[in-house]
Amino acid sequence: MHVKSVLIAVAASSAAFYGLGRYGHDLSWPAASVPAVRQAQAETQIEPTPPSQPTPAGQLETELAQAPAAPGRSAPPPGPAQKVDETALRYFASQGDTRRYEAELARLRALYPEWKPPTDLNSPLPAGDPELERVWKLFAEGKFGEARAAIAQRSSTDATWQAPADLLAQLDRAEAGLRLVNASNARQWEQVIRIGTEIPALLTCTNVDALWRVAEAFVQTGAPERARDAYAYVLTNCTTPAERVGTMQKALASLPEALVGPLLAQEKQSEFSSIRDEIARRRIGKAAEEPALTATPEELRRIETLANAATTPDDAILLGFYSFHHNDAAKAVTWFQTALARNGGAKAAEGAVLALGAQQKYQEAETLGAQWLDAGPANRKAYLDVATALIAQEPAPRLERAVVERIAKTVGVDRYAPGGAGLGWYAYNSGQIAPAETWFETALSWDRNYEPAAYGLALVHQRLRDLAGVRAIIAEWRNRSPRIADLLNPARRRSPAQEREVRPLPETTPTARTAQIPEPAERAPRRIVRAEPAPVMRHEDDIPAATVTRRPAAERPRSGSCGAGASGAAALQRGWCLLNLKRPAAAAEAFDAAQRSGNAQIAADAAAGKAYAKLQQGLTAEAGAAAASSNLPPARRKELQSLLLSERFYAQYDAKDFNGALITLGERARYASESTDLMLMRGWSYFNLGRFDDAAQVFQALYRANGSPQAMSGLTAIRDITQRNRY
Amino acid sequence: MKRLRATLTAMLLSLTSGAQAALPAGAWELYRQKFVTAEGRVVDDANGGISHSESQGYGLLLACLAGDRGSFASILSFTRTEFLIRDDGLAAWRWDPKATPRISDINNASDGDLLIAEALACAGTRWSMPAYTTAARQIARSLAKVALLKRGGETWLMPAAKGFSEQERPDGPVINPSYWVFESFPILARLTGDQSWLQVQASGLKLLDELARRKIPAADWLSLKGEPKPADGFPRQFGYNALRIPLYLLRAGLADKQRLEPFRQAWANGTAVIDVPSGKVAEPLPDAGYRILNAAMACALDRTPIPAELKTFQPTLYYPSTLHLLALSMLSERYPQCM
Repeated sequence: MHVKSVLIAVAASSAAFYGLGRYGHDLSWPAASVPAVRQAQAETQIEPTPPSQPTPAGQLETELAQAPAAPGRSAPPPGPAQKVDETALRYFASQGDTRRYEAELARLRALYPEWKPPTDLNSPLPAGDPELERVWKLFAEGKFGEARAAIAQRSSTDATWQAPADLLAQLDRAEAGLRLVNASNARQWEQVIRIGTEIPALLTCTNVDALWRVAEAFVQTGAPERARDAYAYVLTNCTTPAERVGTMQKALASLPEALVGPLLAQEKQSEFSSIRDEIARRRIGKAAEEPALTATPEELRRIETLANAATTPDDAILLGFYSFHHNDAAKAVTWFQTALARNGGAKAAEGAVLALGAQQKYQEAETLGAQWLDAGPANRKAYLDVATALIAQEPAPRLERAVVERIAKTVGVDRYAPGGAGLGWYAYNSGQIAPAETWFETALSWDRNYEPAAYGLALVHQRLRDLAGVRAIIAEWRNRSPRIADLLNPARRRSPAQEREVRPLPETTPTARTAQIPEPAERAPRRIVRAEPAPVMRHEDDIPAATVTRRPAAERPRSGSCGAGASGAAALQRGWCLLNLKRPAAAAEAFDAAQRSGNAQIAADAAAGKAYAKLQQGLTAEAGAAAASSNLPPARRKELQSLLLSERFYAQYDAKDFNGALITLGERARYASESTDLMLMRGWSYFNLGRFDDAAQVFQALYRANGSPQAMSGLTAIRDITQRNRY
Repeated sequence: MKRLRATLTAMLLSLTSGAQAALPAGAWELYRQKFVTAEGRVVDDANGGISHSESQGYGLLLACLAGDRGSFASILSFTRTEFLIRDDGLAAWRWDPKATPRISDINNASDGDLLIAEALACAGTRWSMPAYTTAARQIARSLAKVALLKRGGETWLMPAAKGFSEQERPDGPVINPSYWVFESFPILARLTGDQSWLQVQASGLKLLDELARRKIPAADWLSLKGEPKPADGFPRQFGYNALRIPLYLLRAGLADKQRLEPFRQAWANGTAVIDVPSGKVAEPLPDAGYRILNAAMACALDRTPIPAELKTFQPTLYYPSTLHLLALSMLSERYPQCM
């Protein structure tokens, strides 16, 4: 037994009395520790306890053990020469039970500051009471119930016998220790605190676990400062290194940062180095999640040193994410690669994929990500992000067929709308219009509110000269997407070329270097009727588009120019070519030239072309004039008439002349059956006129026919508005 | 002054009357050896060797009745360290040696708390241990706080602090009539000065009398949402719980003939678990610990002699053996002619 540890234990024990005892008082539990403190003080002052003192309720713990309520109990006998009961101390010494010996020594020193521990501890216990010795033995073996039974039995057979106060106090404390553990395991925090305050002798350095449990109870009952006090008590008084570090770990895990700092300052000889590492780790982790936060250079240096020295991946992953979210993708890639080399697994792979993506190394990212697709949702998400970025690039990158198929498959399985749209852009940017349309539609069917897919689809329609299709999309999106709303606005058309998603047609033939686009496994419902006949360019080397090519069109030019031939046929071809390039004004000129110089067939074709060109320019009246100006074959005239009426319809619709618009639709019906898109617009016209039943009929028919999501939005809008009107 | 002393003496007598009831020689010793461990745990051997606040309460009560101060001390030590750990000072109800932590349900069981409080009061008086009496008082006060429900002029004993109220069950409040340990109510009322305990007793008797008028034995669990009827989710049985009711009434001296009539009818052909709606036997209960319940009613009400084989105790399983000892001590105290 070292003097030093005795002194510390004494300090510990008295601090427990006055430190933790206070909490019970403050929290004002009915059975708080005030009486216990008072009793302890009385005993410390070596004053006799009046024998007939009434028993405070708060001492139930002690009483239950020490009953009958006979005089004396644990109080020292009166008189200046105090007699300290050393039997327990001697017993533990004789048993070599160091832990209990030290606890008892601490307790006695706290109670009797004047008392000197005996020096003759190795002399045998005073003989003569083997029965009592048996009780001590039971106690030492942790058989508290049997010890209690033995004491009670002896009391009942020998009315004059009294158990030594020391034995009873020891039993009290041991049982309270068990109760404290049990209450704490059962999360009965108030009971934990009550036990701790009633039996403060429990809370010493010989039982740091009890101190931890009391601290936890304080945290759980919303008193972190008191938990801090308990931890501070350990750090001030207790010496076992593992317990000191354990205390800091618990403090770190349960206390707000502001309370942890002062505890950390109680460090002796860098013992909390691992704690400081943990704090740095935690800060970096937090900053990795919230990019607005930053870690200090010192914290980063600390963890970087650890990460470099380690063979485990965790710190490297942490630093990877920190770098990734603090605009250092290159460093992030390095850390993640380090982590991957240390079997960092899915998390490291996820980080590496994201960081490579941030460096725009999409292909590398896709290749890596593909290996971790089955590792978890986060890995799939990272993969889909970079794969989408990869395929949506402009110009379309050169990719192996297997890669595109892999992307298409993953996008399809996850029904990932941005990925579907990305595949749409990939097709679109490589001139594969039919799959582009399919992919954009599919993406929209996965997420009806995904604007880029709608925009892509509108561009596809525009490219296919499917103006009604474009109109339908505009009608649905005009309030949500300015760039879609402006698609047919001649003033602004194609002006926002800076917008990232605006994609001019590819100027070159890309099919040689881009892979063919697989169809989505699960296709969006297709429109049954293509809206209007429109010139569609033909790509021999493309996947055949799903749309029907209605008329022979000029060969797609191999260069950016549309040729310069002076013949009528050449001018006609140039006109269609320019129309394809969305250069309607130039196209109209070419068609004019063709009309002037070509034969009747060419002139008729050119007149139709001019009408289309004027339409593309938004010049409906001129388009009508162009259509009327030549001898068109009846079929073509009909086609153009219906197209013009569609345009008139849209103009009226845009001008909110819904009745007029509906009349125009009726007129148009004489020339052509109503396309899905126009039916949709008929529905919206009814809707805007408040004719909800008519609108519902149209939307329902459309929805039944092809499950159109646009029809569903119409039905939803009707439901919304009719329900709202009820209130 | 003289009168005061007389009153005090009478009170003391009534408090200790149970304690002076002797158990047949050796019976408690047999029970203790079979069901009480050295550490003071009372084992329910028919339920996977678990213990509960009820078994600990019965153990304490029987130890006090048998005058076994040592066993009382060890059972209390175990009860206190392992069960009496709830924030409100009541006992957690279920202790499972195979579970970690051992307390596998922190909810209390009101009958367990009543039994522990009664046993502590018994021991406090019997061995002049004021600390035991104080502990009994604290449990009684705490239980009154969490488990008494005043409703429609009645005071009900809720089965536990949690899980049975109007808010917690569609058919709530739900009670267990066998949790009315009638002998404990006057003791708790005297300990705490809280008359609620006598109101609990009155409401319990009223309920039993009402059921007797309708000629139905009490089901184990009753919904009080409307007219008392078997609660949802429990077997609609006069079963292992409710079969204690006649014993508790007899022990408390409340064995009114009409009150007991439905129980005697239900057991006309022998003790059994009875399906309440049909009145049919669901499971015969041939153990002596159950049969003595029927025999005790017959002797108490009609002076029918108790069969000799039931007067001697042989431990079987924890529950019937406990009831057997409680019945024997009751008979020797209240109906010595039956023994």
